[in-house]
Amino acid sequence: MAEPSVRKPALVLTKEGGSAPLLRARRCTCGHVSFPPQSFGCERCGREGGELSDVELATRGVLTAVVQVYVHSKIPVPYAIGRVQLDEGPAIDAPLDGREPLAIGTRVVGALTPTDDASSGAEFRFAREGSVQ
Amino acid sequence: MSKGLAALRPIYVVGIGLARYGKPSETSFVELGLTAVRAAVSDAAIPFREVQSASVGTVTLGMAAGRAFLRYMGATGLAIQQVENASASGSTAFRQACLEVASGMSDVALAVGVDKAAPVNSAASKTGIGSLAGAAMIPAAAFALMADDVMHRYDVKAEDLARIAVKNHANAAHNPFAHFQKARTLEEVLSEPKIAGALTRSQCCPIGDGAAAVIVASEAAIKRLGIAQKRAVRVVASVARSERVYAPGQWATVELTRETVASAYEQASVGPKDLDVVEVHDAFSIEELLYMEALGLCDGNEAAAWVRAGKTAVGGSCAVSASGGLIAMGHPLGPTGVGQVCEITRQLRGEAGARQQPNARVGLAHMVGVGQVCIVHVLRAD
Repeated sequence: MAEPSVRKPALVLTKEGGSAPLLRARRCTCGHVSFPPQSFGCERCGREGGELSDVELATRGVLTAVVQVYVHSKIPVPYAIGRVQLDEGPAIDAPLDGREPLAIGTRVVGALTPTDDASSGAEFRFAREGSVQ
Repeated sequence: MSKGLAALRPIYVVGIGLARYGKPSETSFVELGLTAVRAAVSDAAIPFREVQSASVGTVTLGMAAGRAFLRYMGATGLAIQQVENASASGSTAFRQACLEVASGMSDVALAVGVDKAAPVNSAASKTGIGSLAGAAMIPAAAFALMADDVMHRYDVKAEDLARIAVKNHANAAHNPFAHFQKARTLEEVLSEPKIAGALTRSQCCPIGDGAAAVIVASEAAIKRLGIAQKRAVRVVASVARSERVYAPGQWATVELTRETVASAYEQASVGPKDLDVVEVHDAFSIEELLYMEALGLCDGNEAAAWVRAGKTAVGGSCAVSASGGLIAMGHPLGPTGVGQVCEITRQLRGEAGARQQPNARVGLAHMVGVGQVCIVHVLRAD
């Protein structure tokens, strides 16, 4: 079976073999990691150009805040969204796998979730570590 | 070496005026803006021709809003500039008026905010940089995440957040310019539909129409124009900052507020214990709780107890959002920061009626704008 196409390929990277997706980021020589990735300059120190390089972030981390959203003009509700402190540094906000309620402190990992709109590809969401491959 | 207001000549708010905040209506921005400006001019009891400069805070109206309504005050030839700084647009317009008068470039300057509810057009959406959450991260969700984190780390319950909305709606019930003017019980607030996380409907600010205006003057202008000095309220700090990179686990809006407020305290030679009235960017109930801590009113573990004990209610140790705040007075964008200055001025004059904080001498106005930027002013009754 072919890998599903991924929404937001500028942010999300998949590797052959079905492992957890990775996130694309940029690391400055000062150590600051930009996610989402951008090439304009380092937000911490202002360095630019060759001082910034592509990195891939593993998506394992800890959920530090989680909420259900009940009102939205375009997205079916309710849906869950959370903040995840990645083991590799940045804290990022992303949709959560809605199959089970996830509490603060839960170990999570990125997963690609098929959406109702198959043509737009699978969506990156965080899910409980161990619940996905 | 940068200078604070203390190093420049003294400046005073001498006139305030508002057009009631409310649901989107057929009333044009021209009428809203003129209502607020005429009220401010009348409050100062000066002729409009004495106003040398106008800073117009607006987010939704489009270019060249100022001339389009100020011309009907009589086209005096005054300087007009438009200021857009997201939710802090009005606060930034007020800061511009303050800086013009403090520097001596104007003797009398007007800050006016006016907006009609409309879709906004943000530059950040045009950078080409996406986000994982995208449209799913509505503002209420972003602040509900903060609430979830705070409720996990501190002794804060969903009821404590709801109590902030109860207090602010009760204050707004005494404010004839507020969007909502109806008190709500704790049970009512808790039983409303949830928007995101713990935040129910009336813990989230309404965005609507409105206008607010403030006139700033020098001592020389006060003497020359015969303005009542005892109703003039001195502006003792004006500070603007923008977001830096903060450590993981810190919330940018809180850290940015902490930094901006610290500069404002230094400039005004005051501390949190001196504050009698505070207007904060309480677009969501959780924000007021977080800013209480960032302002140094209390520490994070005490904030909920402060709310439960009524310390931030009118009559408490520091009245927070006596106007009703963004939650209940409303958040029409451009007017909001100017409206905060109107409320602080009214309080420091002792003219706030049923929502008057007793013996109010020092007040602070705080706004953040998406991006993020933060503007803080401190006012003092001399």
